[in-house]
Amino acid sequence: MRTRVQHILGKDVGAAAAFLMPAMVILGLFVFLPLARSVFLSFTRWNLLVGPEWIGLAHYRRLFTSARFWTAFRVTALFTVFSVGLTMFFGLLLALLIDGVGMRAGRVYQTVFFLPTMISLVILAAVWLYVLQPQIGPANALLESIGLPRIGWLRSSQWALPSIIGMNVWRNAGYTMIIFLAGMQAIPEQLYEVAKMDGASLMRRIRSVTIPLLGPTTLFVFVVSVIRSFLVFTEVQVLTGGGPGDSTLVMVYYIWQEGFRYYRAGSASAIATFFFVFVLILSIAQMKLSERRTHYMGVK
Amino acid sequence: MCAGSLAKHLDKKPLQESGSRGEANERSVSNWLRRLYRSSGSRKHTVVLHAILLAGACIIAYPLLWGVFTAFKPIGEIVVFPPELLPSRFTLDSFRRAFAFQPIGLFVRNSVIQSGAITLGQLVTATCAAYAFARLEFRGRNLLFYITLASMMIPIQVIMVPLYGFVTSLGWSNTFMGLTVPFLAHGFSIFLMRQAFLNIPRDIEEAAVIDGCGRIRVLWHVLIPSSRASVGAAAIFTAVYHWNTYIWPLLITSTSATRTVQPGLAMFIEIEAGTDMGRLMAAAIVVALPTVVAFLMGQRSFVRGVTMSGIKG
Amino acid sequence: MKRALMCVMVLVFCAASLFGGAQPEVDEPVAVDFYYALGGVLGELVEELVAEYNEMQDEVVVNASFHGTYAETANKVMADLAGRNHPHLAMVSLGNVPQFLDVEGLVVDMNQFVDEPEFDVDDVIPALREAGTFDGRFIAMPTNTSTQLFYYNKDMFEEVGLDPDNPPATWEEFRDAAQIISDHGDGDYYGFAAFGTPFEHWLLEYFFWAAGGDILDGTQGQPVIDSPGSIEAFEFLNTLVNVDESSVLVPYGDSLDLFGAGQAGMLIASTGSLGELRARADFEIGTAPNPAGPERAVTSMGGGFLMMFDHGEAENQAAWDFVRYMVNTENTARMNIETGYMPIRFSAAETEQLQEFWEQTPQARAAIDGLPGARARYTHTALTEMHDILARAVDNAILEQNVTPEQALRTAQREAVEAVGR
Repeated sequence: MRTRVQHILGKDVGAAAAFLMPAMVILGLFVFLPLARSVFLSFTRWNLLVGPEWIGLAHYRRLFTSARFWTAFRVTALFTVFSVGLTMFFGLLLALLIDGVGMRAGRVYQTVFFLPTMISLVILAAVWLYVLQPQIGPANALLESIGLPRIGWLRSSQWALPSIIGMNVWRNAGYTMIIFLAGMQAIPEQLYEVAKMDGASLMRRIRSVTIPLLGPTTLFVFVVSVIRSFLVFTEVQVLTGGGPGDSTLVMVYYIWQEGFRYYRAGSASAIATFFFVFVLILSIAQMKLSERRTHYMGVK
Repeated sequence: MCAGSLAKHLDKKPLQESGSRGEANERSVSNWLRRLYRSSGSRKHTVVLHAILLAGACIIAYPLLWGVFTAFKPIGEIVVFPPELLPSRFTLDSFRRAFAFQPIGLFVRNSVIQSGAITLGQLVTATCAAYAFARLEFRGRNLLFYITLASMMIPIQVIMVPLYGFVTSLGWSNTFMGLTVPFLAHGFSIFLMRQAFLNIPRDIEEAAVIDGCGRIRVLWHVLIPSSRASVGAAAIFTAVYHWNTYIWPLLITSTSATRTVQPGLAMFIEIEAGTDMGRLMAAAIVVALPTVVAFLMGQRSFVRGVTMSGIKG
Repeated sequence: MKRALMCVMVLVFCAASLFGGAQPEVDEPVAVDFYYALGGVLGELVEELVAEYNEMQDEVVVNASFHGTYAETANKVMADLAGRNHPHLAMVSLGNVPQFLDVEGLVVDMNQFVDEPEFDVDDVIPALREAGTFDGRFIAMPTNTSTQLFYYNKDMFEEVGLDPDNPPATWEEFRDAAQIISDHGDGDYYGFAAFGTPFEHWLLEYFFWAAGGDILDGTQGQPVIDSPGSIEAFEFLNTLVNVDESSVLVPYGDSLDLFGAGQAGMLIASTGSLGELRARADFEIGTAPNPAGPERAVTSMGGGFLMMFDHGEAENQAAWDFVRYMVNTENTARMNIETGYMPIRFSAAETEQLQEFWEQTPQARAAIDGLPGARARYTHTALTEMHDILARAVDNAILEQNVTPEQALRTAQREAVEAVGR
């Protein structure tokens, strides 16, 4: 019996169950159970007080004809592309620079670069709202002092999204840097030594040792950054409220608006469910495509 | 007993991987090489790197300095035109007002308990789950892993009402249980640790298994020490992230006994009357200090080669 | 879970009938949960009042807890109502009251209490009581109410040659004053800092009403955002910002910053902001009623109201006891002195403390003088959505100038009709 089960489920099934149990119980109870409820709600009308009343696919049908839904989709996609690209670029650059001067000498820089991640968005928002204030903020004072015109920053539909992306990159580059640095520490030093003895230059060592061996780390950073960007919320909530117009209406803020500003829990759940499935498919495709190209030292 | 033989394998291992060059096996030679790599290139080279880093640090720190100096400004100087970065005189007045206003020390204590418990819990659940995903073979492994990944894609805003209803029905409203238990496992830390474990050469632990180590000992003595930097990163992220969470603690806690720092800070904000920014920033600085300490502690795991010397020593 | 609840309820009924169905004797104090919104000085005062109340009697214990902004507090109450696990009392923004009324019997009609002599209902300012009354039910007790107040920088008025004792009384004078100030400041002065985008649109109500327009037709009525008066008002605001370029439209907090930093000469903000502005400003602040529009002189009243949620007669009575304490003459006077929010009783004005305070701070007096012209802000179950719709109209027409004010309001009207219908 036991061997039959093992045959069907793979050889380490008992151990796997034991090792996975704690994580799966927590995720099951506190993420997937509420999610299941949320999916159920997406077929109902519920304002938290009356209902839920079953209405089938009405919310989903409405979704596709809603202009704001597609606006939210477009804004989220734009945000994700620029935010992920720039954050990864600057994160890797900072990590390479710090690795270049040595971990010990780079400690102070690491701490400074990581500072924005350490401070809550509520406080950062207060600081940024002041710095970017169009009439009396320091950012425009700086622009004027070097002869450039003032910018509306968060109060202009042209600049609001770039401003939020900029703040996001500013905040998360240090975070990405840390993950890259942690990954770099796992690369056996001997590989560099060998490369160096072969006469490889610094750039060359980075290209042929660091980057390829950072594969698993890069994959992690990429997948996590994409997910985090898709879920961007607080920045928008505290800085622009989705405006001006709908120029910074990202998807989770749109969901929040429906659910917690207008108390249309059913409609909010429908948007959330649709969006969740979209992000899930995208992420799995992303994982599958990149796993194939990723070199793990621990996998033969 | 099994740890001793591990050291032997570890010592040889990376060299086999990197091919030939057996001479580097000598410890003194390897140390010499390490120093050589560290002083990589010329002195000029290092100076340039430092210059770039310093410039970057200034750009990143600049907006934060506004917040910091605001806390030390007299109240009439906080919002002026044209803007002034530095106060005309430094005063601790805002700090006095902040501490007189709310029990910040208590909020910090609560957040230490909350973030500490979540971080420890996540490290345990994540390393165990990551071990299963990286090393064990069982059907449905990929499916379960994707489900774990999927859990990262669900924003708390979406499941908040059902989650709140569930946690309240357990009687965990306004308790540390309600603050921490729902977050004792997270896809992020599991994924991070999986990636780290996958990148550790397998033959080290195979040797350990041959020497009689069980799975838990392999995990504890081989995989975790070899991925110290990732464990450190996971700990930093989890601790800092939960230190800074706002929505959930605001919803689930009601009294100062369990209030954490971010909802505590929100008590300094009064939109209609206008916020005393000096007092808010002073409180924010106090609240941010522990995260800096946590970061400096976690950062110590980020030193190359520490793994191996750790086992050898 | 439900079965356990049933068992408990049966037991409670049995116990209650044993005691003859009367109210159980008060051995244990009754616990009353009270969620309040807004931190700062207001939060400080609320905590103080609760502590004093708990200290002075031993029949009721009020557990007050802060739950963020009005919106965040409302979210907490809604989430609790969803699980029928609600507090006894909650402080909500007046505009949001209707969203809690969907379920019969969850909210308590305070008319059943107000007639008791200790309360003296005739002392409560009628406009405020009316604001808290919905379909004849007194649902929301005014506590920290506020109206809009016109603030101006007396020093700046003097500097630019305006009469600091004669603030603008009509829209024409208002427009001229703004123009004079902004011409004078070499681009650094703004005549008027209007608050608007993106978080709060309370100010639009004043402009619309002053020009004879409106947002809603009646309390729970249909949107009339594109009525002629509304369009006229919107065009006036647009003229100030984009034609004359004498004024700016900024978020609420920024408008306080601009005025406090001495960059903007005129401001319309909550009476509750007076204390903070006085702390910041190094110039003399003048206050006056809002300038009269072409149709009428008006100011919009809103702010925090207490709602009671049903917990059975005994606990409702306990909760009411605290409500009564919170709005007694002495405490409403304190509310006005310490926070700038309005006293809700006529008798408060006769207290020594308030007389003394007004002596020292004549600006605070103007808010009370403006009360007869105050009109309660509009309320609606879809208020927040209407709010966001108007925010987009303001963004598109005034901030971005993509569309004319009239087009923006027509779009807003269409969206609002749809929102109300959902």
